[in-house]
Amino acid sequence: MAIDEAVLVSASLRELGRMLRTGETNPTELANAYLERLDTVGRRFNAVVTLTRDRAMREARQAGEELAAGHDRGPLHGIPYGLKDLVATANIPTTWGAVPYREQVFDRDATVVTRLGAAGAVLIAKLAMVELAGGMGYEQPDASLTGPGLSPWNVEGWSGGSSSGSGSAVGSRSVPFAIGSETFGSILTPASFCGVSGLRPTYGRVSRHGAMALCWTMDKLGPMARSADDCGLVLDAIAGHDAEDPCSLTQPYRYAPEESRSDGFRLAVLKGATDGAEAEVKANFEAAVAVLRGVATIEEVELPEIPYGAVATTIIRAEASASFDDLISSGRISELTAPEDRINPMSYITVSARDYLRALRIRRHIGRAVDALMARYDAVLSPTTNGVAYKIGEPFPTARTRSVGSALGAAGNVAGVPAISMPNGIGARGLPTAIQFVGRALDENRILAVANAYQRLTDWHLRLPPLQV
Amino acid sequence: MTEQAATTATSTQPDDDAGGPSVQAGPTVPPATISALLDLVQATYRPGSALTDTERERLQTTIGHMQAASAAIHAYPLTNADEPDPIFSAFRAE
Repeated sequence: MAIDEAVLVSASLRELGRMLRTGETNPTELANAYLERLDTVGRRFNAVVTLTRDRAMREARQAGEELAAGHDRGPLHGIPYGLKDLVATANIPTTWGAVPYREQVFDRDATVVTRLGAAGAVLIAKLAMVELAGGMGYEQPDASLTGPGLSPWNVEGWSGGSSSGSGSAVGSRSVPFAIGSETFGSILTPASFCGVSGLRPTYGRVSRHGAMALCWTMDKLGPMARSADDCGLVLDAIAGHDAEDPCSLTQPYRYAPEESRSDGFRLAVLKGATDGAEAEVKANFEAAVAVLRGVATIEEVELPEIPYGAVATTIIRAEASASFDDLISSGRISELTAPEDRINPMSYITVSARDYLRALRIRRHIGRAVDALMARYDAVLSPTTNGVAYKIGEPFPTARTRSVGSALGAAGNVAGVPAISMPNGIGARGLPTAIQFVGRALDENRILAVANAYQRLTDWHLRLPPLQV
Repeated sequence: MTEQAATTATSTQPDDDAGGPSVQAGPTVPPATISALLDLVQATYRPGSALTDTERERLQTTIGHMQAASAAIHAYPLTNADEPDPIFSAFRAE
């Protein structure tokens, strides 16, 4: 049997799961179909580093045998996925997107891979990323050993970073879901630029064990998928305490869509959220808010005056200077792709211990201020990015503008609170725009409930990139 | 070492955000500060060899960004009682 292309590009995880259980397809056929699509469509967007064909066939065969025997591991059983190439996989290269690590191979899987394996998911690819998760200060899309990530919606636009391949592989419908990572914007930005749903979990919710460290106190792993519901199903499989990650949370997590409310939400819009945004971003955000008014009360709020961006900058650069000390000291940064990445990291040594600790001290204030704000609402809203994907070849400093939305990004990442981005319309050059819902620490289910309600009322998450259909 | 022009401090967003520093005008960082920190970078990573003009120019810019971040966090009031959240814990094997 052959799977209909329309199913491959549009099916939710629940729909694929149903097909696997009714015998309309099987895990091996599904893995082969997505491997083929990644190898053809996905590669057009520089989404792929390594196809893990042998491992995929082995895991798919096992999933098929288990399902046939009635051993059901849950909603991801037999479902193919892609993994950002900063997550370790046994005996398969893990490049961190960077030339100096092109040949790097670990001998064991990261915890997140182990958990997805236990859920029966099938790893089919290691996906492209900005070199070293963007921590060296890149200022252009061409900052990866696999070339610039391209948006499936318009190849003249960047896929976003640093989870570039995770965004474009999901956006081009070449995988049902992928794992990305975020230190500051690296899940939400590619989710926005590629028109997919991306969930940044609470810091510590998903084990970082086996993932490349950029900034120990801010790195998070999370799902990127076709819908908020899909993100919830994946988070359910990968969340949970891990003794091998010293920052892993002990609180358990279970996705609970059955408890989702469809109305009565309390939401807030960040004051000035669309200041400086592109016209379409502003219009689409306002349209999304209008939709949400049908199921929620919505107030306007302001973030307290705290230097969120400066705190984030100081923490990330101080920790990156240490986590990549060997690479910087050895001079091998000269092998990185983006010219600025070969120079910028040397300057990180100028962040003093005094400043690093001061940033961490302010961070405590930020955590409490953000919690006090978020505790009053199910979610705080703003555009995810204030513009559509940057043009390939355009340096960032001339491409980007500043908005209050970026303050929400800084505050959310420094505080370690969860957020989800989802498409909310089409903007300039046919590229998607997006809205983000930011919530209280540990309240993934609340923002997922709001996101599910929004996606029940709209169909932006179901729209397909014109190049792919 | 050459005398550097005064650098306008900037506040930045981290670079794995939607991309690169987002710049806001801020206070002026004294050239001597930039110069001294550039010397630190050179002594640490390039002892005995000169930085190229391109490297020097870029490093001056990024050092300026970080000095601006430093100024911003020092403008935020803290007291002696304000501690960082600890991640260290005393270890004892089972």
